[in-house]
Amino acid sequence: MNYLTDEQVAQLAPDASSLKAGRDLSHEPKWLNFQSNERVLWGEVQGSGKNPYQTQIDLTNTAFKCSCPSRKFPCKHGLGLLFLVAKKNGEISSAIEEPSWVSEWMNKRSAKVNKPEVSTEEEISPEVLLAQAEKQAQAKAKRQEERYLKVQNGIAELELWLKDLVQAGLLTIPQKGAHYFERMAARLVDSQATGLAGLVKSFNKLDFFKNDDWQKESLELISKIYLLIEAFNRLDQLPPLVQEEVKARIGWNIQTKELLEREDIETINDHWLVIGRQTTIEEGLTMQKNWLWGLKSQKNALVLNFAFGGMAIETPILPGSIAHADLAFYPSNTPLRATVKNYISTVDYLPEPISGLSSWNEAHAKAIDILAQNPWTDTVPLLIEQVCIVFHQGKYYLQDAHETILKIDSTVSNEQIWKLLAITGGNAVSLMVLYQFDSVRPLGLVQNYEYLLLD
Amino acid sequence: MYWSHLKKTALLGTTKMPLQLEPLPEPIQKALAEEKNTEDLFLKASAMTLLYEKAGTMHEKVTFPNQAFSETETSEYSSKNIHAIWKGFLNEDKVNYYLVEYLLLQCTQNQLIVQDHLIVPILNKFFTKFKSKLYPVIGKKGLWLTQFNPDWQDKLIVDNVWTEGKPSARKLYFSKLRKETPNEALALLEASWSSETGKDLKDFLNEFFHRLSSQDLDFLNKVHEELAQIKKPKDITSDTIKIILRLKLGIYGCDWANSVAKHIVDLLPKYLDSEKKPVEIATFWEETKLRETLGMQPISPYRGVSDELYWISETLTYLHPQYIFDYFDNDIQKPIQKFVDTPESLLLNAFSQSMELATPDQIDMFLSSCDFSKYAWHDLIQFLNWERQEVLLMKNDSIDLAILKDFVLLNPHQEYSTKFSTYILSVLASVIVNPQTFYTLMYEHDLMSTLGRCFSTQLLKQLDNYPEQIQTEPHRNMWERSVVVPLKSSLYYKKMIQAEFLQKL
Repeated sequence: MNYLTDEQVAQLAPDASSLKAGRDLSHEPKWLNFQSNERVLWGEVQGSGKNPYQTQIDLTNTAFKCSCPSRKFPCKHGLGLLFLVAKKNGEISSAIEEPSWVSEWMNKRSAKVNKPEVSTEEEISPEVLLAQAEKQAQAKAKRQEERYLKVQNGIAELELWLKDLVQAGLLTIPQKGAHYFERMAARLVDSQATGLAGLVKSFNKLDFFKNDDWQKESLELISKIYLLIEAFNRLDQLPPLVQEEVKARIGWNIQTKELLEREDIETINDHWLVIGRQTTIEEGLTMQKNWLWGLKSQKNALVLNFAFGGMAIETPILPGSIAHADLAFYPSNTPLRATVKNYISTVDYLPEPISGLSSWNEAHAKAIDILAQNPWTDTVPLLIEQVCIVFHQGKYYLQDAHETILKIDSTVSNEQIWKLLAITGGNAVSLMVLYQFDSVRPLGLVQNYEYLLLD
Repeated sequence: MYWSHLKKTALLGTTKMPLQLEPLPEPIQKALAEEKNTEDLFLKASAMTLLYEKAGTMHEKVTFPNQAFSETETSEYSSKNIHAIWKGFLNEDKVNYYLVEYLLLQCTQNQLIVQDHLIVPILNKFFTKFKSKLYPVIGKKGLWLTQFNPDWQDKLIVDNVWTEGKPSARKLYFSKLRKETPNEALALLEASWSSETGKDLKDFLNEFFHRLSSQDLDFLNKVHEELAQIKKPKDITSDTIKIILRLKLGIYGCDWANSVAKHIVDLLPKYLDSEKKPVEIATFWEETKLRETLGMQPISPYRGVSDELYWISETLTYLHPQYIFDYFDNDIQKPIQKFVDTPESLLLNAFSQSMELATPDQIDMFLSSCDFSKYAWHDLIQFLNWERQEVLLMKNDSIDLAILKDFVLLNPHQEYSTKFSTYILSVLASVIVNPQTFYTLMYEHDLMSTLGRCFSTQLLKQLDNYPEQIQTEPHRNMWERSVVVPLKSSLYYKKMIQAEFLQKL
């Protein structure tokens, strides 16, 4: 069966207590029964209620359903069942026939996905359709204009705010307090410039006590914001794809539904290796960043998923696995962000060896190529061959075959580096990394036909 | 590099410190030549300069000696199932360390190492507890990895700990050696004792109370002779001599023990048998100076215990019990019964300590005759084979939680028979039904972990049913919570470990 590994299951847990409870439920005797087939995994477990809880998991989209009263999603029973299957390496009894409570749910899910869009309206003449389309286009243009004005007002205010900040000097930042930045961010949210709001909020993440790094970091933030302001002020002078990139960075995003309906967007069918995932939770919003690598197209993609209030994110994309899928890219002059348009299947092994860049200099050249087109680029995912970990003057570096070294990002824990050392033995390997210009963050390593994700 | 130039304006603000373009790269200077607004100038200059620097970063080139691991593992990698057990232990919040140690031992004996990606989590979670015992299962690569984290290096592992180690490390080493191979420890100290400090020599000799035998006599005599020649001995030397004399009391047949025994057995009847007339006690202690020679306190430290009783008990502690048996014409049961019956618990305890020098049969006889609650039996029972230990414990009527704990924790890696495991379950049940100890087992994590390691896995089935004593709902709940849940969890692991290694065998 197509099962998730222990690490992959752990990533689905909404919180630490669910993770622990899930693991506790991974002992086989706790389950009255459990079975699976290609599409679904199900089991019954005796809980505190009178009847056993019925737990089911859609294996295609990693969706859960459980009859327990838990408000967490997935609940501990769903996680426990997945942990149990991971423990048994997927070797559990399979059944072609599903119990009615399972097939009912699964059939409902498939019906929802395959639901044809049936128009209940009567046949409409082309003239009417044209008129309707024109009306819709006018309404859309009006909405766009209104939004533009809103964003413009917000940006004008932000520009003044930014100039005040540099007039007073960065040394005043630590005294200003979180409220100062939150207030500006809130105004930007009101102006529908959520991307800029996020950048402004980043000032509150600076660590003023550790060392002086915050000084350069805050100037970098200021510069990034200023570049966006300048770009927005000259939006009509920019090429259309750059305009889209600027709007997306400001927070003027295209809705996924709209993106999938557009015909001018780039869609790529490929086997996408999920090279890494980063999940952050801020103000109740869970953001999941998935970096993908197209095995044929050699393209990078960033698939973002969001969920509110600790809800689980339903996605067929699992770190370390290879998803055969169509990805639709958001329009940009340096397309990276994408969404899954059509998921086909998951593959466990790399169908063919993959090759990457051979030196940090090559990596840098590739990164500055992107930077030249998109000055807001911070990270470039790439595959680098023959790099090894070296310890030099109290820090860890990745050294390429030409002896060039690049510092491993300071947020990468020693434990993660030691894990990498344990696997590689300090020998040269091919690594998927996030190249960050002056540092690097390893995501996983390619060994034979396998991709090993570093957690 | 340009950051240092931007920094002044950035930190102090454009009002106090307007930006000078000159030090910046020429293309940036040109692009900004027309900019008049001070803030715009600074913002544009910093945005451009930071990008300029970002794009122009040149990475350093450094040659290092090869740091990579290049040896070949000689052990095999563990199977998928063993891997799953390790992962299970790593994921447990309250892991049963006795079972981890069991798995460690099995892997070590079978020369199996863990998968590479488990090395770091295993070292992180278990190093503090198991130190170098982990090294065989992490393999040569794991050992190579320990160089990157000093916390994973066992500082006690030094090849020449005896010759170069710190005093504390040497003492630990010697203590372990004396318990495991007393002759090797003897040889080691024989070779080095003359160069040891007075304090160290005293500490090492103290270890001779473990597994003392007639083979130690020559060495003890030699050291005694040499120390006795010192005209003005320091306190530490006098203390060491006293230790040697105490040790020699435990060597049956040596002159010193013979002479002391002769007097002591004469004194004993006063306490053991009121019908017999003992020698004059006060005179004895004054004449022999035995109290001073053995370094006993002049006044009894125990309330209600006379000085003489204290002195004789202390002497009995060190005296080989064969002298007592000889006195009773080798009718062992007789003196044992006398000690068991004596109202003086101090004497019974002293005798029980001296019994460590007796034969297993004598010890067995002694333990069979006496209630465990009356004396320190733990050290003695270890001289018997496991089967006898189980029988003795099951036979003893006075088993309570305290005795059970002492017994279980004494041998945390013992395999219990199903019968004995069932018996212990009944003891646990009686602890729960006793209102005074109803909650106690909830806090006995260590006891439960040890039982989870020692119990027969046959007990898994029995745990599904309540013992006879457990009848009421509160008792059942407490039983489930404090006994069934922890034991089942441990026994599943134990079953998995056994299944894996028994299959291998």
